[in-house]
Amino acid sequence: MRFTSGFGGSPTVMLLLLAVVLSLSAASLQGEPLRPAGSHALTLVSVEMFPEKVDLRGVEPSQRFVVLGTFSDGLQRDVTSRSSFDVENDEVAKIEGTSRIVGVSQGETRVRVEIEGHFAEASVRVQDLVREKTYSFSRDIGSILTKHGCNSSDCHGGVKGQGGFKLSQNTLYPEDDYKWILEGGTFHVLTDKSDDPKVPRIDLKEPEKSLLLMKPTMAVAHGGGPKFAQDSPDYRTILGWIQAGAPFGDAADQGSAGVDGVEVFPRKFVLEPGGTQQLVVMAHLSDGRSEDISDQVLYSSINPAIVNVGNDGTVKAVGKGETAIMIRAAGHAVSALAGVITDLVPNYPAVSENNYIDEYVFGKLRRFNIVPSDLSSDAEFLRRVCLDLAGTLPPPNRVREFLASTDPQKREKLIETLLDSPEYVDYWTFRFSQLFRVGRLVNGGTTEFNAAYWEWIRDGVLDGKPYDQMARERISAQGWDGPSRHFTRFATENDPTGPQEVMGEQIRLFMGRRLDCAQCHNHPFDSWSQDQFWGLTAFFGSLVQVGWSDETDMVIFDNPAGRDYAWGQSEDVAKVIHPRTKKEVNATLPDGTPLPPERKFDPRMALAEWITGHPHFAEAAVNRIWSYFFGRGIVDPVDDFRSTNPPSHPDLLAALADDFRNQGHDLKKLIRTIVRSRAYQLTSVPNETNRHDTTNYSHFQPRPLDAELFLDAISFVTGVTDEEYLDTTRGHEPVGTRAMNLKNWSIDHSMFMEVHGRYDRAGKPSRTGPTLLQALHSFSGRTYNEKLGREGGRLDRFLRSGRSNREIVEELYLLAFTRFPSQDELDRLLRLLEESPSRKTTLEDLTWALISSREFAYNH
Amino acid sequence: MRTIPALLILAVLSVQLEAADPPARPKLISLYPLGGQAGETVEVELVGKFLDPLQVAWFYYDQLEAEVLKLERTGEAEKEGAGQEEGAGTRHYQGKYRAFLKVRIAPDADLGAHYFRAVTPGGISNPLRFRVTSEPNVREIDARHNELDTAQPIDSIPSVVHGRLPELGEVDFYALQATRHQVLCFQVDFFSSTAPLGLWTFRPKLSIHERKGSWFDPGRDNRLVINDPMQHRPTLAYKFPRDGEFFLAVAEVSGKIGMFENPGYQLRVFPAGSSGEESCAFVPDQPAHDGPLKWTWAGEAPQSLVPMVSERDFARKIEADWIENLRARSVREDSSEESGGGVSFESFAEQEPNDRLGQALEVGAIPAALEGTIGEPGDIDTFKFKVADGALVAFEIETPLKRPSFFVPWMKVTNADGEEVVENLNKVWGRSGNFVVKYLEAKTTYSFEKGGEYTVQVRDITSRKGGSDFRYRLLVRDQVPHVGAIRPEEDHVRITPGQASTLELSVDLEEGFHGDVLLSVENLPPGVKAFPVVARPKQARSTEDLPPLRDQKRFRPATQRAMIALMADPGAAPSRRPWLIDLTARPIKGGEMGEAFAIGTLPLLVDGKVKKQQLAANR
Repeated sequence: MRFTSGFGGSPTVMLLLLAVVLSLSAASLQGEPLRPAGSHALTLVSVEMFPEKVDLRGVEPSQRFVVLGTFSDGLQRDVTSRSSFDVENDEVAKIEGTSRIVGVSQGETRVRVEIEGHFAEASVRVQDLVREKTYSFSRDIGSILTKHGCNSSDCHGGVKGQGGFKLSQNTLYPEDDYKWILEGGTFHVLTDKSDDPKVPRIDLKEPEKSLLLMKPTMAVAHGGGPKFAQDSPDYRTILGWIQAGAPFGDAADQGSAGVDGVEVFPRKFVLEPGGTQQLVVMAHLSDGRSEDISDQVLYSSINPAIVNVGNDGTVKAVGKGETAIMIRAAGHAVSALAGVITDLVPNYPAVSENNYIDEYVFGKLRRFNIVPSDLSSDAEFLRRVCLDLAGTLPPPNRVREFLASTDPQKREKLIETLLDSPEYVDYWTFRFSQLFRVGRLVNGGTTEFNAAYWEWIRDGVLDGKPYDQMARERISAQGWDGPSRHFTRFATENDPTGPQEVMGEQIRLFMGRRLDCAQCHNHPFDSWSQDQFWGLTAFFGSLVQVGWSDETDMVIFDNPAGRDYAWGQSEDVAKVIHPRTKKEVNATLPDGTPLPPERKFDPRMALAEWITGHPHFAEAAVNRIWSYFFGRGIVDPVDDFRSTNPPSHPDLLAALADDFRNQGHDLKKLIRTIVRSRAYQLTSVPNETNRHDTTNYSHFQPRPLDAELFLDAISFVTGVTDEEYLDTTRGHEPVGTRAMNLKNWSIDHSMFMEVHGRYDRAGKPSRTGPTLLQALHSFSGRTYNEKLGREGGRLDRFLRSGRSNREIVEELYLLAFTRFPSQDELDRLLRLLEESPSRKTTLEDLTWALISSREFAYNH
Repeated sequence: MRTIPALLILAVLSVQLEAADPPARPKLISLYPLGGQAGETVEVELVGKFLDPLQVAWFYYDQLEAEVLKLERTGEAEKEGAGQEEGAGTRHYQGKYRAFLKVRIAPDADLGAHYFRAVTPGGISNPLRFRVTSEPNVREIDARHNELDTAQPIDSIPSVVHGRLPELGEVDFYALQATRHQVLCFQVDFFSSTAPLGLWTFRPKLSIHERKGSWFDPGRDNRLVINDPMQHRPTLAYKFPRDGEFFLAVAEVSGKIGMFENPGYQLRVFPAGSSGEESCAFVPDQPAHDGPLKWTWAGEAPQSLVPMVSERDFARKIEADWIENLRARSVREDSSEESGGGVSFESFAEQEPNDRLGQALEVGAIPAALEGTIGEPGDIDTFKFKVADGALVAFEIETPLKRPSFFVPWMKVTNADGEEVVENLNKVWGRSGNFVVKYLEAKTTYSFEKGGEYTVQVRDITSRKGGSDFRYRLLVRDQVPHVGAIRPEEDHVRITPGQASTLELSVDLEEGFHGDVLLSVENLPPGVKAFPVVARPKQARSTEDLPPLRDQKRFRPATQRAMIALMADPGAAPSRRPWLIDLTARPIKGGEMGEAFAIGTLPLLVDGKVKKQQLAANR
């Protein structure tokens, strides 16, 4: 417990010390803002319009145009509202409102747009105009249900539906929706049987009395509230559809085509503060045509604090930053990336580039009028790169040496030194132990299994094993050596984990995709189908083990006969059964390639080869590694790649992935490229233009140390290794083992690491923010307090060595912060020490304050 | 026939009821050091329970003699009531004892593991191994040597180092000088009656380090290699990259061996032979892979004392007289009548390529020994053989060089239509009866309803393993009904003058043998009698109520139990040392009696007060 004895240990002094350290160290994380940016006039350079070809058919067909202007700053802006439209032949088509063209009669014409002397053109063809609408359930009714969110997961699209009415999410299964609307009844994910009462949602005899119309108009009570009015186009469409006999109507011979895909324009755009952008959403139909469905989709902003979006697809900038707009159409989902730029920066500074990473990062910052922060100081860089490459703080003599060096190549040389250090092996073994989930409770429950798995990872890091090879070995592991151990829990067959979860984990890990949704239905926001999900699952459907005599040397293998049921249910083998079709699923790659018969004894190797050869593999890998250095992925979260979660820097991601592939999936080379970039070496001190930027890597984002690294850092500063976590119920690590070198993750107890959010490796990683428990632990926990005054500890050795207060304070700063104290800090701390009746206690308190500070607890 | 033994057993039981509680049986826990050099005299520290008074530390052979120097209690007595009582109202001291022995090893003592037991009035203890080597034996130093700076030098190679890991997480460092490209072998072993202990399995951790330092820490060591943590008794072969000083670290994977009886370890360091790293194999007296000590005596004793090698051990030698030996354990007329087939067999070596059914090597009629090597990962060997309608066939696999889990031979037999008819993958219910455990069996039997040509394929169960040492021999033969393994339930017999004792045995009836088995005891000490007993099949399984997975008869013999009664005259002389008795068996069927064969040898101790002179002689 702190605050125990003497003047030096009094709360007042402690708080004073902490205040000194915190205020000073916090100041170092801030910086002088740049001067407010001014503005200057921009000139329009060119314009383009979308779409360039318009095909209008059917009943009152129309198409919205968007005009984009490219300006002298290189950015495109929506100039639709400032453009004038001119139709060559207004007997064929005419402009309605500001930018919508409507078909009048059959024929062809052109539309010309003009703004400030710049022109663009689009061709228009009008044909097959009809008075009577031919309905398509999935397009016409499905889009209304989607647009109003009726089939969203929190409404009727939920697993159990709502109020006895179930719809598939986003009209993923229009046939099912059609049946439920016509016949009533609810949907069950894993069975085709239901005993629920069936209430039809439409009334063919009296269409106006259909529940499908009365509920959303609140003619009868509706828990979801009003969705549209009785005089709205949507009401009329549904009514017309029912009056027409409620046809399903997607068959081509019925004159209506299905939707093959949906596209949004523009996919990427920037807005100035307060600016707007109109989106156009096109459906590409199965008959080859395209159709404007901008009014038939549901728009939502991922971050409404940056942009909001109206029902008509108009995006408005309300804050600063970058976010995505998700567009849900019936059976499809796409997204557009919206960025809100800051004020123009006069005299935007030239920024040097170290490698291609900087080209992409700084290029985007330039477009967004964000000035990158300055290069980090040597001290800042040294601490950061040591933590990021080796998980270890540099010793004071190395700090002095580096800071004193005038070698212009000292950063590059340091990087090479660290990449070749044994601490690099320790740290990246730790990283991949987290990633690959090394933990006794998740690796079959034995210390040996855990150790074997951990050693496999360590060997891979030490030998520089290509990442694709590591992935193949992990996915396809057989036998009893290291990587096979992570299957032992699953393979015991009394474990409830199904092959679908094991498959899902591998895909999440190595392809960065979450397929969980596709287990029960086609993925609502991505292109993964339920068939693909179960086809992939079947690769793990024969994964079993033979147990040997002492039942610890379990051998993992694939038995083409399949797995066994657990719990004595049956003597038959458990096949992988598709939950909808109830048929056995054979291992099939997502591209439809079935597992060749000759590979039935080794199906997971076939899958591993497919995964590691897929473009997603390298993308997911570089994105994950990138996130370790920048605190967030280019796609973030790193395991949630999907069309509706676009990358912040798609070109950079592609370049990194290409480089990674070309370099033989060499992790060390990738890491070297990242840390040598100027983008990585920027200071964490923001400037006025980038203060609010969190996604464009304009300045280094300070991030809390992992619990393990934090604990090791405290042990390093205090010179007292931690012992609490060494002893577990099943093992005891050698004295002196660092927290990041622990293997028995699930059981190595440590109150410190628990309260600091150590990942237990059993589930998905999560990190908690600062908590009251953490604060209490720093005040009274043994990690802080028992180490400070320990005989033989760092401080004890300092005091016995006869060093002066100045020397000790400097040394403590070098240890904790990798920098010398500022003159102000030094003066104030020396004064405190001189006034203190107990030098030892005050120095202990100072050390406590240093390791309790944000500057210490963060990598910055 | 069965009336007399039944009465005898009843008499034995009633006599036992009236007898006073006997002193508790001694139990040996650990010893240190774990062995010595031939010709030297070693002081050994022995830890055990119920060791007072220690009559003798008994080696099976005279090549080693032990003298008890001192016996002392260690620690406090355990909780009352946790163990046996010595007599009415008297609690036994249940804490541990430490005995100090002087072990004289004859210069010509056989090298390898020797087994010894402690003998007290409470009986004969479990055995522990004591290894005799030709190399010099040294002990670890008393001072800590848990880092490079304090590493204990190993001055001569080869040598055997005996050490202990009493502290949690302890690591012992040894320093040695090596030359460039020198290949040294390192082996570590723990001997203890408590390892494995329930869920604990002690596995040594062996690693080689160099003093390299790092940018962060100039004193940091650099680990060059570590053994596979999955190995129970690791052998590490290392080719040194340069001349200079290197360090060897010995630890235990869990780091918690010190919590238990701290049995100590034996580290062998020796140069590799001409075959380089390959020559660093396990020493001959150590099984390559530990198994459960289902029968402690059989598991621990030298092969000479084991009655018969298990028919279900992948390491057994299936040699030319194999079938003849099986027949010898039956009634001659019976076996020839029922099994048919010959006793000699021809061997067929695989011919690559033979991965596919169409590439099978035709071997014709059985018996035939199919030999091959899973030369590379994924390799499959295919053979074709012929059987008659209704043939009862046994498939026996031997893997002479590598055994499971290293090489896991998977055998599948398919018919002419390509349908699988039998494999050696066995499924049994786990201990709790709620999940399935699978095993690959070294012996599988099958009844072929239809005769004709069948194909058998052999592969490693994984698609990752293979190599020149993945050799196998698969004997396909007609079944031979015979008496299989006979296992005593206890590893010794103890009897008191004037009283009776029993020895329970389980008898395997292999391949449909359905006769009786006469069990008898010979070479009894004066004044002790044994009453022969007949065992008859009786099936009972604890998992009968569970749904059958597969017909276990394919993989497991029928087993019957029998109990031999022994009686000691009131005047029978108490024995200071155990007496080795011989157990024999004789198959009986259809009124015919087969030839007697040896089951094995068991130590028997006649209780009673040993004269003080005898005790003194022991000390």
